[in-house]
Amino acid sequence: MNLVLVGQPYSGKSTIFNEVVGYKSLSTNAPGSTAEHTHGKIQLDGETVEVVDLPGIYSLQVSDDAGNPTVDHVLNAPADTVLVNVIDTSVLSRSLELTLQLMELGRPMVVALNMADEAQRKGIQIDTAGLSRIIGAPVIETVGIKGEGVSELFREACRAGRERIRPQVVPAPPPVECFIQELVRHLGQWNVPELFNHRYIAIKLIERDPILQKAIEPHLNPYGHKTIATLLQDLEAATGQRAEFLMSAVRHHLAFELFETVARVGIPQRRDIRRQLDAVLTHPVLGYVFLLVILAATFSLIFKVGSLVEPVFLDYFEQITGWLGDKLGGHALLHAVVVGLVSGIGGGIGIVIPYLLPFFVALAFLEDTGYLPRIAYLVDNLMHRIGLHGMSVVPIIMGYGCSVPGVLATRILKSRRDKLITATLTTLIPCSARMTIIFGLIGFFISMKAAILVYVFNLLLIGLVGLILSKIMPEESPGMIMEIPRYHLPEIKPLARKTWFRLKEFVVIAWPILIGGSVVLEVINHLGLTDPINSFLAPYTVGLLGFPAAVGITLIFGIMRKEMALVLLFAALGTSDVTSVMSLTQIFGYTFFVTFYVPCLATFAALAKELSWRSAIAITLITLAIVSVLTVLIRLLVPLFG
Amino acid sequence: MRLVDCQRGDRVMIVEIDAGCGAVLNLMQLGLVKGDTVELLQRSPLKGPLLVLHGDTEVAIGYRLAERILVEKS
Repeated sequence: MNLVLVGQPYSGKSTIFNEVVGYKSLSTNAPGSTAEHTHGKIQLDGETVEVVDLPGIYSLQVSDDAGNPTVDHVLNAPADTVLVNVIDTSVLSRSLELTLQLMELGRPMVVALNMADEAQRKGIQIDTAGLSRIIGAPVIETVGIKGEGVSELFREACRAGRERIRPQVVPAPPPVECFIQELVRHLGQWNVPELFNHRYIAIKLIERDPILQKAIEPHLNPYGHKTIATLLQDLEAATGQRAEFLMSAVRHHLAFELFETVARVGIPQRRDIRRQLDAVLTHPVLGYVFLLVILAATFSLIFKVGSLVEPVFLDYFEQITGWLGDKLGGHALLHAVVVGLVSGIGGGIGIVIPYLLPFFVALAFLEDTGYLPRIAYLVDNLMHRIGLHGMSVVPIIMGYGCSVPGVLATRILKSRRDKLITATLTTLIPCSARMTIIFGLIGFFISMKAAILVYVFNLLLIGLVGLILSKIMPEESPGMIMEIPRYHLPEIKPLARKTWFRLKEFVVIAWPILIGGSVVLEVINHLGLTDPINSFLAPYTVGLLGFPAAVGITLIFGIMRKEMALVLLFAALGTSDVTSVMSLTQIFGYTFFVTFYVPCLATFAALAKELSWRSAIAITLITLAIVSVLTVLIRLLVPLFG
Repeated sequence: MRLVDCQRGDRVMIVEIDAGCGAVLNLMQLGLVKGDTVELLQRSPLKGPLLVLHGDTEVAIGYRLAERILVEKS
């Protein structure tokens, strides 16, 4: 049997999922899409049951033909599927609108009234037996965090599956119901195959659902098309509403009536202090003060942790490299390959454990407390000025950890244009590897202030690129429509799961490229290709950008691994006292250039995966062009100010 | 009166949503339709989004959309 958890965002699905499946869960990409769903197997009364956790959705109705992976999964789930509809009881009325849509599918289902304790605190009491009678499916109260009611929920789900308990058909109000019946009758007459039950198809036809229209297209003759079009016109005339909104409005009212019937709303047990919290944290002035303090505290904590831990790993891998030098001294090429391998592996560990892991824990913490959507709310306006939305802040913040998960996180954005612009800007964010260059070169040789200046400069650069891109690709967007969830104490398991999934994107995509890149670089070095490459690049590096010729090779290395550019700079210049061979302007310009000139190879792969090869190449060329111009400006302008 | 003309703390009823199909559907999915009552919780500066309380849900609505939501004091 196959149990699919479906619910609106923030309904606590994942908590329930973790409660039953625990760490044995696997994450896979749904076929044909990039969105992840999580699944796992459990033993229930001697039967092996597959449980799937899908990303939250508000509705099965999709307005564009791009579709939604969760909706696709629900619609195309195998025949022995039981839908487990998880509801946040404190927003029951709204949640029932999705429940009514799931009922239209006519599949066995159960309803979990989750966060039942929260609802009780608010004075909401639900007649579960009554609700169960009306919808014709088992209804169980659960408190996911405490595991209350969860095993009963899954038992009932299995029973519903075995006994094929199908939910009731809740009729729409008279004029609409007549049209639904009429459509169902026609669908039967025309022998339209039951891809779904005919009632569901009829409802989707009324919603003018582009995907379903396409699916039944081959089964309709011209007469059928005309009949449907006429019926919809009549329906719109009879109700005075656009057909697209009609079913949604009907469900809204049905859900509210249902809520009135089964819920009793009393006096809340106590005032919710969390609302007072929002009076401060989303305040038009104080909100931004807190935002800056919270972000600054988070980043400086991560940097502190990282700079304490990193040297430990670096020492260790340097020892290994030294030892290899002794052992493999005779086989120069083999030595180069092995050293490349070790430094690639070491470089990965040197980024992951000190910086990326604490970063993702902190990010998941901000996300699970509910603060991240508030950040999106606060910066929405600012982001709009550079052609983006509040939600674009998520990939961008993630980019400070590693560009690869940052770029992959653009999948939360709806339109391709938003993805493209956000991904471009995300690659321009100094990730933790680039942070080591900025602080290692500018912070060390010039001053900490100058290093911070690079970050400020970077924000300006992002603003500029955003402005340019949004001028090239203008948009007509209605702006933000987003639920701001309640504040919430994060739980360990979902937090760990989220952190691990993001870390995995680095480990699976970025790390192998990093290791391969290191090997190639060591071999280039070994074969003595450094000088030819340097002189080949000289017109650009020396002539245009004003760097010493020796840095040419480090720029090639920087494509593979950003932080390698720093280590190699010392080697290329033949000294670690960079100031003796480069002027301060050169150091500043070089750091700026090497940090932002192109996305590293791993990020390039992520861009190609999430967008396309063409977009990845375009983004690379755009950033290279802009950063070259700015570096020349630095070369010309910085000396003027001393 | 438009939603953007309201003050913090105002409780108003939505009379009309004069926006595109996608925006109306998105609002509907969050349970916001004509006839519902909302409370304006917070406004953000410089024509940033507005934060409204609808039932027990907080919803952030972009300024340009909020300009097209007509409301009445209830």
